Amino acid sequence: MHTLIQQKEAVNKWLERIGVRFGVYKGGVFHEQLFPFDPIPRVISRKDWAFIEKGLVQRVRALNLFLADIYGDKQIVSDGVIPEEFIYSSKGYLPQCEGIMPSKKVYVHIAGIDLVQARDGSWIVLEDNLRIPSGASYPIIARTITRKVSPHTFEYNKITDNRNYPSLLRKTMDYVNVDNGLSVVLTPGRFNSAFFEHSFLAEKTETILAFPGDLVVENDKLYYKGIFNSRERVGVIYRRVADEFLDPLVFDKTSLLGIPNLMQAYAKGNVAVMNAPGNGIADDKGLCYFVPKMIEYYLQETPMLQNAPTYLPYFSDDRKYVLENIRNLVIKDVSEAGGYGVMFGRDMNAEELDNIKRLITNEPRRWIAQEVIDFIDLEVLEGAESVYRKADLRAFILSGETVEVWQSGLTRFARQQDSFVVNSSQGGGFKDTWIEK
Amino acid sequence: MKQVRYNYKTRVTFSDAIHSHFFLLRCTPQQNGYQQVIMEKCHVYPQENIRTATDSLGNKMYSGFIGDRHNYFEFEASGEVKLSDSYVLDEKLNRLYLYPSVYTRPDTAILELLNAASLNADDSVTDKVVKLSDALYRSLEYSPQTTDINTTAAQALKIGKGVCQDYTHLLISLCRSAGIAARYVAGLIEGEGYTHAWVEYYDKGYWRAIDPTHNRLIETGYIKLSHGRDYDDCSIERGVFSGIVQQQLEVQLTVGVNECQ
Amino acid sequence: MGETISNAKAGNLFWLGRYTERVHVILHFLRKYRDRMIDEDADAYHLFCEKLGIENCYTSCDDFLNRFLFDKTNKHSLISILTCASDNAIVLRQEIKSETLAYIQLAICHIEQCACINSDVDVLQPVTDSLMAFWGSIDERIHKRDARNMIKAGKYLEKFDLHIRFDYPRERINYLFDRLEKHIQKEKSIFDQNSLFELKLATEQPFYNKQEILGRVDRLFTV
Repeated sequence: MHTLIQQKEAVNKWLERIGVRFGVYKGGVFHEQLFPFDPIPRVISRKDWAFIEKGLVQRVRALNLFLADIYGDKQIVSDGVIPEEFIYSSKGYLPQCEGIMPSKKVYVHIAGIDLVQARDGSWIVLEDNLRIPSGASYPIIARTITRKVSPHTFEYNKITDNRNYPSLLRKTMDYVNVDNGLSVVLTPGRFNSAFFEHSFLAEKTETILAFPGDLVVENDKLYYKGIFNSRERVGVIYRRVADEFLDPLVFDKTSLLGIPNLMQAYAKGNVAVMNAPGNGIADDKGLCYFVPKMIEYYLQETPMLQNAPTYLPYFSDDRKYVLENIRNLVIKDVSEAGGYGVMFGRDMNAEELDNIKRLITNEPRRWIAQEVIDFIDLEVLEGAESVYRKADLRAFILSGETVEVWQSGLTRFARQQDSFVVNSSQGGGFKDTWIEK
Repeated sequence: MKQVRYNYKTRVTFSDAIHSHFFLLRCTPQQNGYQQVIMEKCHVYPQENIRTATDSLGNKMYSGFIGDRHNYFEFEASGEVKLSDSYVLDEKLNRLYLYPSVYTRPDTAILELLNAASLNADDSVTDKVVKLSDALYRSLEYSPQTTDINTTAAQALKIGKGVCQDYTHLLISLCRSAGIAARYVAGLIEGEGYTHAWVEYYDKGYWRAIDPTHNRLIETGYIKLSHGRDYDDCSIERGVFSGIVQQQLEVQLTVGVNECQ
Repeated sequence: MGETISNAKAGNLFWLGRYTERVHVILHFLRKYRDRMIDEDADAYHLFCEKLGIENCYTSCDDFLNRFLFDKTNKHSLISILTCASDNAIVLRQEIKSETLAYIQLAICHIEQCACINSDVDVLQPVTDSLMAFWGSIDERIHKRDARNMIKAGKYLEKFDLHIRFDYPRERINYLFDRLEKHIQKEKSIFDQNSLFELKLATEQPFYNKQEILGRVDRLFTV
């Protein structure tokens, strides 16, 4: 591992060469920056991983069953496990998806589940990302490069290869593909923050990278448009465009990124859309609390991975607890994503505390509160010096014929000391994640 | 029992030619326990093949695509519907209609209006809805062109003026805040040159209807086209196209009634 | 994978070929002019601008070298042309492969570094090297025949255009026309074959009209 650290410069050269960039908007202007890479990998033991893996598979299976239930009979609601208000008043619930059965009944093709490791060694789920989780490309590239610049490191350490992510992804795409059509990755465009990843995954899965104007629905089927009005039927679309922009005739009518009538083609079963539209109901921050209950309800199993202890002010007991203990809690706005809308009680002054308490009392459904987890800091190089920083792990789980966990993940760390915010959009960096063989 | 003939024609003129035009129309009367569709058709110009589909809320739609350049778009829906004497729909409740939607999210002013209506716990559902409609009728002045299709219930109440869409959104918001399931209905009535909107509320297994714009319960005479959480689910015409243009809309509606029996 | 290429991508492929070749050929010409500017004609850059058909907004030889090479706000500068090449390449990652894209990235990173220090044409040798490697990689790695042809059509179109502008001898022009013709004829869907025929007639004239030829070259690409 020592040689790996010495090769930091060589790694950066390679990153630059491959064009690994991450787009950010500052003051309305698009910039591309490198996603800071830290050469010290996070290492997860075989034993830990075996446990995490089982827990993740269990979780994703339950979430997939939940989505099929919610856009169908809603048994879990009628059986009183989840109050209906959590479904119908969630922004993520899309009535337009009612009754649609996606190809091969898969909703959550790619799940990105964020975990942290507590000081006692246990792994805790922070949140599920079931719409368009991003970030898998970075560890693949980091591994590709570090193996080049420091081959000996990988002779001494027995590490599971992670460069098979594109083939796992392709397998999922092939499994749900309708009528053996073209496989397409749909990007919102060149100036999307994750454009690099879209183009990289299209290249590595040997699929077509499509831009919004390249796809058209005719007679309820989706086609890729070529020169001279030629058409090629599309069987699966891995879309990196959010639900609300997906079809301007059904969702946001001002969307220029969408494909008119895509939802009809999808509803008629003529194309697989991954991830399925409407998944936002299952990764709503307010729903996270119920995932262990879903596991018990749908699988009759005991949940292996625990959530961070969560309180829902919606329930009066929880509300009372939250208002009394707010200084020790982290408060999250369920409608925000990407690390936004996260507040720590201990960082707020009296006025801010009063304000948030009022908001919680007035709109209890909008907030969740969690205990602050004392999680393990990871070693990070800052210049020549090594420092410790907060970090999480986004694990990727791919569902097709089987549910498989990618033997790696994106470890993101906070750049500032004591910061808990690891999101790349807010300046965090990343590490490779090594799973022992 | 009434037999009603309707003819609804809309023409959109574009200041410049547009192309790659996709459209979705919800302009067909629903077949239900209250109304029986005897005959119905829809034509689109420039002439195109149209396809039918049903949305997830149960509304019938026509959809189509005009690829070539064109500078106007017209659709004409016509048909004959038999209306029974009472507007009652026997349907299982979709509990979605108990919760706020984008257009109908209540604010404090709406909740105050709900309070002012002083509903009693032992009022029947219809009594409650009538009280809410009365309270609303006193608070909103009918005034075309002060609001537009993007105005929410809360905004309309603040302005104090509105049209049928605003009355409908507000009454829905009030009903849902009072725990009564309510939904938006787009449709046609006699004697008006435009499409109309009203409210269906759920009462012990049945949807019944009230017209908040005229502050009256509906018995018959209304032709229902579509229903949904709010206006957004019921737009008669929705389209996307390529081209930068200004649009001009002309609407022609005739509803003629033949009383029978 | 399907063989269909979208209109937008056909355009990107063509322009990627043009912009990369433009940088490559201009660097080549520039070295010759730079040599003349040493002790033969310090103002040779006037002629260079005239032949290239760009505005001569430069006040001296040094100003020319600095701003024509490294000024990002000057749309005719080499760094700007290379940026255009990169903008087209970046959306073609999957057609040309990451390894090929890397050579454009290397070229652009290099010229950006040079731009920070006051430097001369000679420091740009690595850009030329990267572009040569880029063309090699195109041959090695692009398996879609149409995609490869579209880039090469762009390349030879640009090369032909620049050699006409700089009054290269007839044999050279004829040779480049043959190469161009070969690629254009294979891509009938995006290139106007009538214009190609007219261009051929115009080029065969004993004393051809430069402006007419350049005009016809511009009309070949139809997307």
